Amino acid sequence: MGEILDEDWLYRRLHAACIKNDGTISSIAFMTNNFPDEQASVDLAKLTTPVESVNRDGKGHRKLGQLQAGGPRALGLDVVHDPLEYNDAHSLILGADSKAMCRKLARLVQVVPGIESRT
Amino acid sequence: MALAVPEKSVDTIGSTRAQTPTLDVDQLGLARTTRDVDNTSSQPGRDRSVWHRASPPLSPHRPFTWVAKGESDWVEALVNRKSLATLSSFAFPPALRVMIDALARIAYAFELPEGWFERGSVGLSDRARSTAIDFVFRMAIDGLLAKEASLDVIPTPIGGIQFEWAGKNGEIEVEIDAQGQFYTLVTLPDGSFHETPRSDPIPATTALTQVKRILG
Repeated sequence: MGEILDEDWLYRRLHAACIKNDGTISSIAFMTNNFPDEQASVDLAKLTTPVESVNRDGKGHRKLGQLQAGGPRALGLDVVHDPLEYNDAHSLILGADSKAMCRKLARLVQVVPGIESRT
Repeated sequence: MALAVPEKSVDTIGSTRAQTPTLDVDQLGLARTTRDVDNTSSQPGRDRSVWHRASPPLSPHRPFTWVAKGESDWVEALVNRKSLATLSSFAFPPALRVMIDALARIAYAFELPEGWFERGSVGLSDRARSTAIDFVFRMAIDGLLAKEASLDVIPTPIGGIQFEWAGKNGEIEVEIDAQGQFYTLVTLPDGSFHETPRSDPIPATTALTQVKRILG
């Protein structure tokens, strides 16, 4: 596995519905069907591109968020590279086990302007 | 321009019989349609054909079509976080505008197809929808929609919906889950978090009290 440095950027695909009026991100962005997402999937930016990352799941209405790996680590979470067969950039933010943690993670995310998935 | 609200549009707001803008406090106990709680992993009885459409079609039973110029405007407005009320030239009072947008967001969440967020995610359940609509009306009655705080209404991937504000006294998220139960996450100005345990949901009235405290 590749090393992820604190200053490395991570991409998180966001459904447009998770972006609030003021452009910040809802805690929902780090929920999963089993709430909350203790293994939040992200892409390591240096191994992919914004357009590739936002289109990776083939779904529409996706925007792209970015955060630096040092942010989740400062919250006590792990950030690990977890390459998949179809996605070498795949990585995980591990340990978000509460809504409050989802909220803290969401605050770290900035929306990448001008990037939207193909519908 | 007179505000003409087709009766059918009002009556189709959620599963409850809704009243047009003047809300009577005595109507807090709105009549509910009794429905089984939806299983978040499957929602029998829902019209699944809607999940195969690229966007919701115009229908006399779809609320707020009289506001939008067209179907694409309606969907685009909701997805891109635009105020639905701005698609009309009518000068809405702020609280009414907030209510319209909140109810429209609830309707949008109800139309979300399976897998909208990720594999296995579902749209808003019937129970969550009716509970959320009631909650919006209660907030309107309590004057909370007239507060100068931006309200965000966001669907959860597990069949619920979440109301979020940043107010004078901190921030609050009010989540209504697929079973219509309430949970809150309060962030105080000192940075501390206060979260409702998943095992111990709170009544709607408690959530309202917390919202009032945050909004000031």
